Amino acid sequence: MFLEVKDLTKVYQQKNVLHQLSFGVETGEMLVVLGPSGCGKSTLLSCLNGFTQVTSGTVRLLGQEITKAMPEDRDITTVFQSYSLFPHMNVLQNLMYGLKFQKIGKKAAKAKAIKMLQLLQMTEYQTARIQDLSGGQQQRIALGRSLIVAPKLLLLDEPFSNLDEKLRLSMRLELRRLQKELGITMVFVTHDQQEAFAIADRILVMDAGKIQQIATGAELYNQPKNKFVLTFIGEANQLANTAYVRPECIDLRLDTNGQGQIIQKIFQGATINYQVKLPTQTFWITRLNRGAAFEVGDLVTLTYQVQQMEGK
Amino acid sequence: MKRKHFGSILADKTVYILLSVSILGFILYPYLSIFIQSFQEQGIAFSAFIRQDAVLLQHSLFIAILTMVLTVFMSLTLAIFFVFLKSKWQKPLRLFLLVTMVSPPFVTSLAYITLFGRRGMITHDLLNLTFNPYGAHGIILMETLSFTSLNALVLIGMLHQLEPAVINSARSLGAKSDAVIRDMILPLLRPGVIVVALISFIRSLADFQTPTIIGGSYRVLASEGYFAVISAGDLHRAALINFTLCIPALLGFFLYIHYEHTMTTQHHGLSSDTNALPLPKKGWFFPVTCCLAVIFYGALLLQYGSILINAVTVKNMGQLTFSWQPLLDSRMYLDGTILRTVSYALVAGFVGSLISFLIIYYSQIRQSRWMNLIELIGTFPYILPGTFFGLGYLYAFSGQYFHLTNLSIIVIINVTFKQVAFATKAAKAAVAQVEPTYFKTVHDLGGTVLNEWHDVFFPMTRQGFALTFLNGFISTMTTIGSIIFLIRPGQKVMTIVMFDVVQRGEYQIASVIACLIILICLIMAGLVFGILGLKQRRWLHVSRS
Repeated sequence: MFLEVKDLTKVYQQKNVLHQLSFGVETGEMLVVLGPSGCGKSTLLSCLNGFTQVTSGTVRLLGQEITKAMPEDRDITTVFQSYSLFPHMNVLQNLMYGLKFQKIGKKAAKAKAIKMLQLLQMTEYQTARIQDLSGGQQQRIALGRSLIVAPKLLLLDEPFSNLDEKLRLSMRLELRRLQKELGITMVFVTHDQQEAFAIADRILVMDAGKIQQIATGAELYNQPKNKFVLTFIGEANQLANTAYVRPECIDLRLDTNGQGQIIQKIFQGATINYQVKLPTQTFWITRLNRGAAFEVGDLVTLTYQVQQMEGK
Repeated sequence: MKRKHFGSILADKTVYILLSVSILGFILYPYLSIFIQSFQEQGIAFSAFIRQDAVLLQHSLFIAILTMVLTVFMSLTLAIFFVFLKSKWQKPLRLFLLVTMVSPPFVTSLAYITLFGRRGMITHDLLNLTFNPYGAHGIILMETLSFTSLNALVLIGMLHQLEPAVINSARSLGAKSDAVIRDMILPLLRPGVIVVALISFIRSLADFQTPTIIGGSYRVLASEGYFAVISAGDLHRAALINFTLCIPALLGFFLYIHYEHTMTTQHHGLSSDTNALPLPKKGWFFPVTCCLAVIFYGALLLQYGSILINAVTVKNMGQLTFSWQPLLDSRMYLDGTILRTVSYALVAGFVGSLISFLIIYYSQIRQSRWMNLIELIGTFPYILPGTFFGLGYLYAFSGQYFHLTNLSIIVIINVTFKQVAFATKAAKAAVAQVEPTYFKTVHDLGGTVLNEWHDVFFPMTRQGFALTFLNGFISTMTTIGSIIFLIRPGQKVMTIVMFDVVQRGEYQIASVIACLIILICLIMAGLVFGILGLKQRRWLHVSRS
C-alpha cells in the first residue's frame, strides 16, 4: 500500500474529532475525502501533512512510518484552501521556492519552474506579481508550486471552493490531466459531491469523525452502506428499515384510478421533480424533461424496484 | 412625527458643529498659534538657532538613531522568539510586555537609577562599584528598554495577522525553522519593522524625561526645550526647539503612513481558519533569540521588581526591610492628587472616545468629507511631540482672547483632545465591523439619526468604545509631555508629581507613585475586561437560546 492509515484518532479538547480511521491509498490513485462541514476531513488532512499531531494510530508512506515526522520532513506537499502564495515573491520565485530545499541549483530550478508554467499553460506570467493574478491563476500556481517538488503524496484541501462554478469545472479537468500526466498520488478533500464524482478514483465518505464508506462513486451511489451515505450522496425515498428507492428509478404513469396524486412539480431544466402523495407515504420522483409533463393534481401509478442498504 | 424628526435634525447639526468647532479650537488653533506667534515674536531666528545649537541636534539625532537601531533589533528578536512558542507561553509573556504600557514612560529610568545609580542596589550595595550611569549610554539603554515592549507588541500583533497557511505552505515545501524565518517571516514583517523603527525614532527625539533624569550633562533638543520653559521661561526658544523636532517627526510620519498602508494591504489572498504551529526549536534563530529574550525579560523583571521593592522597603543598617514608610511618606505629595488624576483620566477617556466615535460616525457612515478633514486634524497630536502640543496650548490659551491656562479645565481639555488621534483610529476599526445596512434599516423602519446612535451605532461598537476608553484612561494616567507646561501648583497629576520627586532624588516616593499608577491602570483594565467578558457571556447565552 502506498499510503496506509491505521486506527488514526485525534482527540481535541476532550472531543473525539477522528475515531480510529483506517484506510489505504494505492500508487497513482486519487482518493477524495468527502463529508459535510465539521466532519473532520480537514483534520484528517492535517494529520497526514503533519500540522496536527495525532492522538493515536499510525500513518505510513511507502511502508515508512511518518506519524510523528515534522511537516517539512515528510515527502508530502499540501495545496491549501486559501491560496497561500508568498505575497513577497513573484510567480517564478513561488514555483522555485520548494526546490531550494532539494539542493537544486538556481539555473536548474528556474528551468523546472518554466517547464511547470508550460504544463500549467501560464508561461507568460513568469515575472507577474501574485497580487495581479486572478483567483484561478493563483490556484494553478499554488498547485504547480506543490507539484514541482515531485512529492510522493499531494494533499489538496478544498482547493477549488473559492472559485466560481465555471472555473471550478475547468480546474477539475486540469487537475485530473496533471495527475494522469505526472502520475502523482493525491488525497483531495471536498464537501462537494459533484467534484468528488468528477475527479475521484475512490471516495472516502466521512461523518462525525468516522469513515462511513470507501468506494468508487458508482458504488457509493448504487450500494450505499448506511443511511448517512444514502442521504448524503444524492436523493432517496426511504422505505421501511433498510429499503429505499432513488427518485430517478421510479416509473410514473398517468392513471385515473391510480392511488397517487401529484402535489408538487419543480422544474429543473433537464429534469422535472414531482412530489407524489400515496395513502401511506410521499415520494419524490425525477423525470427527464422530454416534452409531455404531468401536472399538479394528476392521478398516477408508481412502479419501482426496492433497493436495500447494507446496514442502517 | 415631525417634531421627532426636527429634534433629531437639531441634535445632528448641533453635534456636527460642536465636533468641528472643538477640534478646530483645541487642536488646530494651538498648533497655528505656536507657528504664527513664535515667528512673529522677537528673539533668535530659526536659522541662527540651528547654527548656534547644532550640537543639540547632533546629540538628539545620535541618540534617536542608536535607540532606533537597538530597539528594532530587540523587538524583532522578541517577535521571532514568539514564533517558537505555544500560545500558552505567548499569552503571559505578551501580558508582561503590556505592563510596560500601563506605567509612566520614565519608570525605566527610575529603576535604572535605583539599581545602577551612584547609590544603586546593584552597583553600590552589591558590587561596591562607582559607576556613573548618567550620559548618552544611559539614555540609549533606557529608551531602548522602554520602547522595545511596544514595538515588540506591534510586531507580534503583525505576526498573528500573517496568513498561517503561508507559513504552513513553506514548511510543506520543505522549509525548516531558519528558512521559514529568513524567507517568510522577516520579509513579511519588513513594513512593520520600518514602522516600529520610525515610531522609536520619533519617540526618542521627543522624549525629554529620560535625558532630563539620566542625561546628566548630555543635552538633547527635547530636554533643552523642557528646561527653556521650566527654568528660563523662554517660550520662544522652546518653540524653536520644538520646530526642529517637528521636521523629522513629520518626515517620519509620512513614511509611517506609507508603510502602515503596506502593512494592512500586504495580507493577501484568502484567509484560512487554520493555525500555524509554533516552529520547531531547531536552527540558530531559536537559541539566539531565546538568550536575548531571557535577558530582556530579566531586565523587565529587575526593573519592576526593583520599583516594587523600593516602594515597600527601607534601608536599615545597610539591610532592606519591609516597611510602609515610603507609602506613608508619599501621602504628603499625593494629597488629592490620586483622585484628581483618576477623575481627569475618566473624563478624558470617556469624552475623548465619544468625540472620536462621533467623528468616525460622520466620516465613515455619513461619508462627510469635512469630517474626514476634521479627523485628519485630530491626528496632529499623534504626529508631533507631546511638548509641542502643550506649548501650543500655552500660546493659544494664555493670550488676551482666551485666558484659560490657570484653570484646571485646560489640562482636561488637553488630555482629552490629545487622545483623539489614537481614539479615531480605534473607532474606525470598531465601526468597520458594523454592516452599513444596519444604519439604513433604522431609517427604513422610520427611525432618526438619534435612533441610529442609540440603537445601532453605540450598542454595536460598545466593545471598541470600552477599549478606546481604557486606552484613553491609561494614556492620561501615564502622560506627561503635553501637560507639563500647563499644570499649576496644587493641580498636579500623579505623573508630574513623580517626575518632580525623581528630579529631587526621592526615588522611594517615585517608586510608590509608579506602583500606584500601574495598580490603578490594571484595576481599570480588569474592570473593563470584566464587564466586557460579562456582556459577551450574556450575548452568548442569548444567541444559544
